[in-house]
Amino acid sequence: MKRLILCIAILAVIITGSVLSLLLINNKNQQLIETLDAITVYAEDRKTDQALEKIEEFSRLWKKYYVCVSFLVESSCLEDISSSCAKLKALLLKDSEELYSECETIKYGINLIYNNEFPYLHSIF
Amino acid sequence: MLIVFFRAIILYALVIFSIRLMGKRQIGELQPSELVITILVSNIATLPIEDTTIPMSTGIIPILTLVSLDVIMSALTLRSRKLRQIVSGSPKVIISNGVIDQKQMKKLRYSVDDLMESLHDYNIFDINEVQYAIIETTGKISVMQKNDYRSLTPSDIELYSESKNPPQILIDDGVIMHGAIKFLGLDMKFVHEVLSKNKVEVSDVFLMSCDEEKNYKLIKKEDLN
Repeated sequence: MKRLILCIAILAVIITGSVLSLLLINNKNQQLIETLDAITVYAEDRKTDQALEKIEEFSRLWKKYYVCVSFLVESSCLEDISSSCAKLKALLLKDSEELYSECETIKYGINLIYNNEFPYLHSIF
Repeated sequence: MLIVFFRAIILYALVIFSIRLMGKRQIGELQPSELVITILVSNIATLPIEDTTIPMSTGIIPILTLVSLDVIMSALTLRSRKLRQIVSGSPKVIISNGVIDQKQMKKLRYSVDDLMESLHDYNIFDINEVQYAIIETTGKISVMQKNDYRSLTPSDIELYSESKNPPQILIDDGVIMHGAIKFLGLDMKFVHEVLSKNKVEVSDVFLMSCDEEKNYKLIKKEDLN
């Protein structure tokens, strides 16, 4: 009986943990995407200082998020986002158009993390 | 390297925990579902060890889920005979009254060689000796020999004696086994009495066994130096 209760508890912890991790990913993703949008807007408006500030904020957020999410997601997916993140500052200072495509790449990667974790029917099968 | 090392340690502990969680039955006799779980667990455990880009949760969560489901399923099958039959199947009789059920053997894809091999495990080399044989849900065959070929037992010659539990080990290489003392309904006073009678300390004892009637056997440690 003890064994059965322990197993039910383990399953309950796994289900709760999985749902909470999904919520965490969704919440953090929104925060990151909002920051990326702000970077794009400031860059378009040529507000370099504010855009730099947002890039710093994004880097900080990403570093924290990376640690959390690396417990759940394959690290190769995260490395791609990290490398794009490292380019943002240089692209902004160079006033390169590539900044926008890099922001879109990061957004795509971030959304991919959530989509890969969410139990869609096509993901299960 | 260190990552792989630490991961291997964690997964080793997890697999041991999982097998223990599945219970003692798991080690000896595998039901079909348990066999599947064992194969899956060993396979899943290797993935995060081999590939460090995969998070540990990818290994831990499926192992715990599979083992938990197996234990829950076992508990459910204990309550429902029908479910037990669905999950584990049911034993099948292949020899009854010395007659082989060929239809059943074909259905089970059990060849004559398989049958003979299983009979050899029981030291039976002549099919005529078999009265009854059944294939258990674990795939193991259980055999009952005809009376003419069975070994003589005390009850056959009406020789009755009281059945007793075997002796228990009370001291194992200088360590007192409190569980065994309790099992025999004895106490530490008895152990100390035996030790003082033999003029030895607990640490000097290599092995001490005792039965329910307090018949003991004490072997002292040899001086190996």
